Amino acid sequence: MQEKDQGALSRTAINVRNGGGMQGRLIDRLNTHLRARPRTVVAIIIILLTATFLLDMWVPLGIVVWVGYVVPILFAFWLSPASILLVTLTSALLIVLGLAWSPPGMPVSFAVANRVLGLGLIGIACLFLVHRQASESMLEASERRLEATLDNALDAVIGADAEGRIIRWNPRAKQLFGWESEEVMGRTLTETIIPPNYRERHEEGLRRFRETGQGTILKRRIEMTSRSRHGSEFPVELTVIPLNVSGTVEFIAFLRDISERKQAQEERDQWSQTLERRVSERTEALRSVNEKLQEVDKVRSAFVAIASHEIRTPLTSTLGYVENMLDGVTGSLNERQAQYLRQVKENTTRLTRLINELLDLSLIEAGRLQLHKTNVLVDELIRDVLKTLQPLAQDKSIRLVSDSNAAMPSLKVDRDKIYQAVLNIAQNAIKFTPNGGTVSIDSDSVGEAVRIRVRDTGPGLSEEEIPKVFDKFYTGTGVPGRNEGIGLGLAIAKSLVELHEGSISVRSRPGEGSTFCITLPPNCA
Amino acid sequence: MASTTDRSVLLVDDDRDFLIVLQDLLPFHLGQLNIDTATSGTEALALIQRNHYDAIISDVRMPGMDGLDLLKRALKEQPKTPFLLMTAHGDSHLGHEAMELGAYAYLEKPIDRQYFLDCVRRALASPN
Repeated sequence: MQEKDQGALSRTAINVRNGGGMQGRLIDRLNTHLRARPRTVVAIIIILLTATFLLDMWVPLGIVVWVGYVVPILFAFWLSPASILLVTLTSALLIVLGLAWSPPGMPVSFAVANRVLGLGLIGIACLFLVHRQASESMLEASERRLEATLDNALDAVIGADAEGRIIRWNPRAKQLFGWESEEVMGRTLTETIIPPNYRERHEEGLRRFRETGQGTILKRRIEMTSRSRHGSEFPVELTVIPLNVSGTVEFIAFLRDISERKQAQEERDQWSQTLERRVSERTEALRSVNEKLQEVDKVRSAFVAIASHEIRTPLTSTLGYVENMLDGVTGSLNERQAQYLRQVKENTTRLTRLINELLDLSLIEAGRLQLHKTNVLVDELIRDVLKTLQPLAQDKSIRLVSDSNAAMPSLKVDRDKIYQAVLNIAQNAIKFTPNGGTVSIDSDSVGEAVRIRVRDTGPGLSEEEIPKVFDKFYTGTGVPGRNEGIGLGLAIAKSLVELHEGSISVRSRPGEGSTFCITLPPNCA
Repeated sequence: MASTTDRSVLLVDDDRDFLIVLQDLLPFHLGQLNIDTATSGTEALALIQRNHYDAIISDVRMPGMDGLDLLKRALKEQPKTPFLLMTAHGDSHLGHEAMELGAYAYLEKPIDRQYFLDCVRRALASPN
């Protein structure tokens, strides 16, 4: 309910239509009767005015004349304020005429004074009645507004007296609880709408309020259970306001059925619980999967660590033995023995390289490759790569050249990783360049970045091959060779460069050789 | 080739085959040497505490006390003795760490024989 209406409630006495005695009923009936018959009232007024005038003509009434004229003015109360004024004016005129036409039985001054007093008194009566009528009209209008508000309110509005007896019951209350207005008027809330288990508390609350003027549920929005006529209980939200109407305590309660809201809330809570349970289950499942993945990762890491160590250890010593023999540590060898041993060395070296590539790939994929960055001189790095590749290049009579610029700025990179990337690309170039060809490694600046280029005079790559050349396990197409590897060298080179936030690319045409470019930013993160 | 007759070298590796390879390789190229071997860090440390060496060459990955740990303790016992560490592929970060701890050099297996021999020759020639 709006505050205005509540104000109206507090200002206006709520009509306690509970049968306040015989007298009250008679007045009400007379009131209603006369208001409904304005013509009758007019007739009575005319008769009274005429009778009083005639009486005044024949028997000069003196000061009492105003009594005769007040009565019709009083009757005008059942008409409109304009009617009261009209009757008053008519009475005043008749009083003056009465003085003029009927000879006074007293000195003129007294007669005039009497009439003037009479006029004054009927004037006062007129003002009083007009004011009273205006007040009553306002009261009536206010009551009508109140009635309309309560009758059309969406909430049930129930009025009760200090003993908890119902004194107001709006149509919504009837809809909600199933009681007709006349069935509940005068009955207590306890015996109608309050469920059994709340009754004691309700009575206790009423008692406490009567004693202390305080109540725990007053002027607050609370939820409780209510009871319909048929005995069904349902949740309601209510506010109870105490009123002091002409010294009498009354309560006005605003209730609404919140069954649907409660149900929606329950469903929402249930859904929320279901969701929480599902999220929890899913989280548990994900946690379990995550644990398994971590376990798999641990096992893989352990496998890689153990396998790589266990495989490389015998390879290292095998290579050592063979190289010692080729060196002559165990004595001189004939040509055939030397040839055999050189082949063993080559195969062992190849196996070692394959194992190392697989290990690198595993570490890169697991994101475990750590970078140890230092300031590296690019031309120095290139020289080291060329030195390492010299034996391989010599075997194929391939010329290794470098046009690297010593004035190149240093790079902050993991030297071993970039060395490996360049080495892999250059090794690849040597592998695919026919005997007598050339492989060159040089560097230059591109803006602030550093570029390292590896060029070869090999057969070049077709358009179909170029996009695949950095793919894992891609070994090229139709290229004969004894040292094919497993196609990881360039893929690893790419990963190592990209770990430094650099890029790698290739330009090539069939028959024109290839140029691989590594571009590295100046201060790799 | 310069003679290093009175020089002592300690070789540490859990791979006995590789110890044999090095035991044959070093004297062949560097002349007569007193070579001791150990197959674990603990065994090596015991030898270091008893004998003076002109160079210590150790693998990094060994069960029990690893090469880095041995390096730290060896430097306490014989701070002036060059310590060369051999790492496996992918363990270059251990090599860097060793250099920061005071190692003389680190090499990645399979070792570059010439580079290895040069390193050892320089280590044995360094004032000790």
